[in-house]
Amino acid sequence: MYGLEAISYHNGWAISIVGILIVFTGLVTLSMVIRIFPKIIAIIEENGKTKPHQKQIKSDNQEQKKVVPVIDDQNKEAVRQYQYLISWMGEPFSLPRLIELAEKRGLVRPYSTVSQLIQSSVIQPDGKGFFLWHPE
Amino acid sequence: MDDILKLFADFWSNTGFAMADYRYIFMIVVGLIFIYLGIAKHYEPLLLVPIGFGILMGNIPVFKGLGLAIYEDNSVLHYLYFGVTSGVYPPLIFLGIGAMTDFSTMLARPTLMLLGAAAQMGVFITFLGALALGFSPHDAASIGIIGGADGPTAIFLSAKLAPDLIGPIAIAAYSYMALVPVIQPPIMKLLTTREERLIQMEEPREVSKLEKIIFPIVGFLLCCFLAPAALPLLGMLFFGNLLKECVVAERLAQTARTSVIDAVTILLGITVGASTQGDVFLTASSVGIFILGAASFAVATASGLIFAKIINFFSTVKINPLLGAAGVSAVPDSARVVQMVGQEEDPNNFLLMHAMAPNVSGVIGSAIAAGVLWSFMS
Amino acid sequence: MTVEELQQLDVFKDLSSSEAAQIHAISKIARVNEGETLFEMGNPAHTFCVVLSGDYMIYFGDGSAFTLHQRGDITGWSTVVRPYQYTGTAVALTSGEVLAFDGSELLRLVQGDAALGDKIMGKVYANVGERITFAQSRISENESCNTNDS
Repeated sequence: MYGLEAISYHNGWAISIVGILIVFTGLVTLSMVIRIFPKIIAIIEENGKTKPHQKQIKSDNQEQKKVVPVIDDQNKEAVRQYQYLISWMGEPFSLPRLIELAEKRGLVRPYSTVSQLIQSSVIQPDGKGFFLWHPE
Repeated sequence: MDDILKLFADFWSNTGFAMADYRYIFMIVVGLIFIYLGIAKHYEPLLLVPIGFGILMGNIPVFKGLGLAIYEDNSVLHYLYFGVTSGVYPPLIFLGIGAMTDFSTMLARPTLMLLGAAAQMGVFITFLGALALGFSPHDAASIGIIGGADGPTAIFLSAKLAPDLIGPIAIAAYSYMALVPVIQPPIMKLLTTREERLIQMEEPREVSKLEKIIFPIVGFLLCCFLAPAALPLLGMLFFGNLLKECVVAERLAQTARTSVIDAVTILLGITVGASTQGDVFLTASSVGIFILGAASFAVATASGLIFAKIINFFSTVKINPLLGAAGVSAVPDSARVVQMVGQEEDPNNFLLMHAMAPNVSGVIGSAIAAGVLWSFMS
Repeated sequence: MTVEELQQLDVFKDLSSSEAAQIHAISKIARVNEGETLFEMGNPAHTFCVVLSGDYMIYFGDGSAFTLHQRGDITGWSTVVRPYQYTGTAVALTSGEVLAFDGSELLRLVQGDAALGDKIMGKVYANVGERITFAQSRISENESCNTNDS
């Protein structure tokens, strides 16, 4: 038996329709549940709790010796690409997280690029394990 | 003197040279091609090298009854093959996949999960195609799951429903997964306009650690309550992910995504390759499976792309329809293909991160599809 | 690397020739590639490394990190400091070379020869003492964060 006759004989249409509906139902339901995760977590956690590394550290920065970043033709493109990432991450930022994001976005050689930006003082440590962006 | 000549003649008749026929030679050439593609071309080397060498091992002509061949009960290869036929290896691979997968892009934008669901149309349309070609429902379901583009899932379902077809189904699935960069781009360009390919995606929100811990637990409960037959695969996938995200079990996660998955991949690859003995593998049904396998990838890619365009029709916030192709769960190759095709139009369009969302949801979707087909056929 | 070259590294500067020879005998140069992980947080500390070339990042569970860029910088000090478990994960930012020491051999030397042990541990604490304190504070902060989140 072949063709449409075989499909009908083996109940193929019903299996396919029900099957795809179940797959869709599962993933749609999961996506709807995922949408309300942030709301559930906001209810569970206290509001307005600030994490230590997000505190304002401007006064600390002003006391530190100013290091002038070096931007040249070699790192100009990297500065542009990473500035975009860091503007989204916020400061001070986590260095491994920056590398992870750069990798996910398909940026070439994120490890050595970040090292180059540190060496040219475009990225500078804040003294507390996180980093700041100093393009100028 | 006659005795000596007789002994030599007996010895010669037991060698592979005397017992070989064109089917074994053909499969050995196929195995060598797999090894070449893996080593020289870097096409999925972690899969093609073990499978290719397994094909060589499985196609050395041996004297039946000595417990050497994979299909003989007391052979070493048969004992190792038990992990495939019993469906043990695929869940262990899913454990490792869960321990190395970052679901945060999917959690940040759950809408993209639907593209992974849409790509599973390839599974069911191929199922219909296989029925139409005269395959039994069990065989058709096993062939259809190739469209899920997930090797362990394909092997798992074939082991349950069509153990005789594990070899050709696995070879087809892994071959087409390795060829995703060749299969997908023409379909992607055919079904999308340049304007659509230029769409830039909004940056996703940051996902908190607590969300990443809750997700595998909730996802597992939800998916397995809906499709209990997906329990072995999804249970291990979400368990591995929980080990990764909870941080406190990092040693276990590290083991799962390195030692466990590597060991199982070696055993699975070599035994699946060895199962493709020429006299068993080279049949008309294998040719049908390969044709249907190619069609399933194409249909899955097209389904994801078209569904993305449908979402754009109803949504004010547009998504790049190329992301639909990443619903084909060849992780992360199809996501990389999306990035590549997107950057051909605009080098500043970074789609890889966004494409990982439908890519990983496709893994979940294909496991659910496998569970559904298994429960229908049981 | 010769014994004389080893003595030029800051951590081994105070060693006599015979002491440096003992250290040299248990060392080997390891080449690392960009992105390669030298060791992972939580694993038993079995390798102590001295940077010869390249740049490295050591990061912790809460996302904090510091970087090493100078020849002679030390990492993997948990090999010789309790609880002998890596407190962070070390990754090579660029390709380079490190001088690697088997942890158990180094510990045996340090614990077996008081004078040698004093010199090496003194240098380790002088060079990385702040980082040890920082790393240990990161561990305790990370543990309290985990408790709060769960």
